[in-house]
Amino acid sequence: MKLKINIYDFKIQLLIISIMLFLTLLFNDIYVTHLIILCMIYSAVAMNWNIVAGYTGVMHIAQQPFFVAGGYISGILSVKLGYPSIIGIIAAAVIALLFSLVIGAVSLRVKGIYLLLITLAVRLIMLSFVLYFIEWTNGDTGILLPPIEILGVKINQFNAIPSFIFAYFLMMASLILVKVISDSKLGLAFISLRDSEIYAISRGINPYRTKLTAFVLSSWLTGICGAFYGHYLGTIGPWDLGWSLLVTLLASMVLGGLGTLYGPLLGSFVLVFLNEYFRPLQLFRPTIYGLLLISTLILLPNGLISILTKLKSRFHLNFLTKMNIMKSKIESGT
Amino acid sequence: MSIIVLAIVNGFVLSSMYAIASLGLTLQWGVLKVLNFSHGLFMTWGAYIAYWIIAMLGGNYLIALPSAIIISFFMGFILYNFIIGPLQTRSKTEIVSNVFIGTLAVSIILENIVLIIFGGRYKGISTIIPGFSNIFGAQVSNQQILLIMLGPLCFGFLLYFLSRTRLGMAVRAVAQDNVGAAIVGIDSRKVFAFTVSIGSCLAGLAGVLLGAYYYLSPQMGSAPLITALFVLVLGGMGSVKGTIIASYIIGFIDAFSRFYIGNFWAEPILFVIFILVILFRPQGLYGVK
Repeated sequence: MKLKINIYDFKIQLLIISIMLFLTLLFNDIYVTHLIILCMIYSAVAMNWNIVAGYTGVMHIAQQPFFVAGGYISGILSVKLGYPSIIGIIAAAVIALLFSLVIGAVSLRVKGIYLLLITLAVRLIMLSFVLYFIEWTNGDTGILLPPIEILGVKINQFNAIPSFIFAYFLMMASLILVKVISDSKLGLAFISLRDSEIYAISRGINPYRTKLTAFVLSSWLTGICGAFYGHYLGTIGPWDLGWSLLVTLLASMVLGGLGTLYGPLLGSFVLVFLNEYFRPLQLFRPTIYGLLLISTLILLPNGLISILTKLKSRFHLNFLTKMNIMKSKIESGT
Repeated sequence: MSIIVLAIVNGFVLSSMYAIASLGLTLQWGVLKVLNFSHGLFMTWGAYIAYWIIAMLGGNYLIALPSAIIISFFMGFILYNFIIGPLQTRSKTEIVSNVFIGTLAVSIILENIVLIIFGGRYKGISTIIPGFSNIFGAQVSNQQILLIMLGPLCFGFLLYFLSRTRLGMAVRAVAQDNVGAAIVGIDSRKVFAFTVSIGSCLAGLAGVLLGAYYYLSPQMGSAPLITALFVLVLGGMGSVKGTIIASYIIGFIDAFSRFYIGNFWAEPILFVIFILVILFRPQGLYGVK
């Protein structure tokens, strides 16, 4: 039996990514594993965000509130009310979904900059609620979350392998979700709304309902990611609603490539590891972050992933021309 | 009685500062149709330039204020030529979101530079005019009176510039119709750069006033930026008249809700008003839909 590997097959691509990720465990370094887990969480959130911002073309910044809401709900349920953490995670998904339904239903009535500003206001309102209901959220101190327990296995910062596997499943779930959506009829509706809303409406697509679907589909996994992030790092607080997490998530999406399947994945890995690489520069790191973001926006409008696609097409071209030359040589008999 | 006078004075001061902070932003939106998120950091930079000249070089406000404004002008020029301009021409997808991300990155860089040079500790500069005066039994500082007068003054200056000077007319022409302005020989790129620079000047001025009235920190620009965005939306994006009226409305709502409901709920009330305005009247008071 001959084994055929088609690199353009989605399953093979997933397999390659999984093998590469699990090979990093061979470093046997808890720090590297921690970074990979962070990358996977950021990329999962960025991929979900990409459904709305990249595929549907609706730029918003409500993904961070969904993420933090997931963390807070799970934290409140497990710390203040004493439920097991698995219920907190399920509740995080449900709450993020309802939250996105409400915010989407309100904010998708407007477009462009107005939508961006509404989601900005949502973020700030959430921040003031977090700071006001101190008996639930602990205000400025944030909530200290216990580890997740599944079948007696504790998942937090100090148990690297179970956390790695949990984060890996979250990332794979997001990747498969994005792939399934972008291949389906619904995904085509999203893309058509991005490319030409008027034409999409003329083909019978309800823009409001379709955008709302995208919003809701992108939120629930983000909620779970937020809950995992909280339990994994052991803390969630108002600082998670600040600009720095937002910029990290936004940058990993934009840097990798808006509206591409693997863009956010590449972006988050590049971002987190460059950040570590520039650690000797200490205070100058945000500047480098900003410069990187600006230069990517200006020089590579389609993101870092466009380098790969360019390389691929060049490789194909070279290969084909060589084949043609060989063919002509063989035909001419020299 | 004197408490109500104080609330009213405070309302005027806040409105005036919001007006100065948001006039530049509204001008930039009206002409370029992009939102400059680094506006808040331009305020921070204005304040820190004034601090540098006054506290470290031993100058006074007569030197500090003009130099803050001039440096802001050149920073705005650089911002347009290196970031907003290329993004306007290069980006294939939506320009608004790209400029949002780009200017957000600029604000990260500027905040980082301030943090490196001056450190994160809160700082203060001396008041612009010392002394107090007595108005209806309430003690009002002279600086507050100056701030109350500066808002309308800036508005008047901007209105005069836009309606009476040749350059202002060019700015309005480009804002109305880019192609039409190009036909009569206006270089729209120059006008864009000039508009961003003027907006940055106003941001620098607002920064100096904020720094003199409150305190200085690398994050001081973010709260005024958010308020400026509210003012911008309420007034109608890109309308100078709408902006000045909206800044007085928002300033008084802010001052009175701080007085009667409490300091904490002033911001959430503004956010809710903001969302309601966007939903039910996105064109604002004066804007065109």
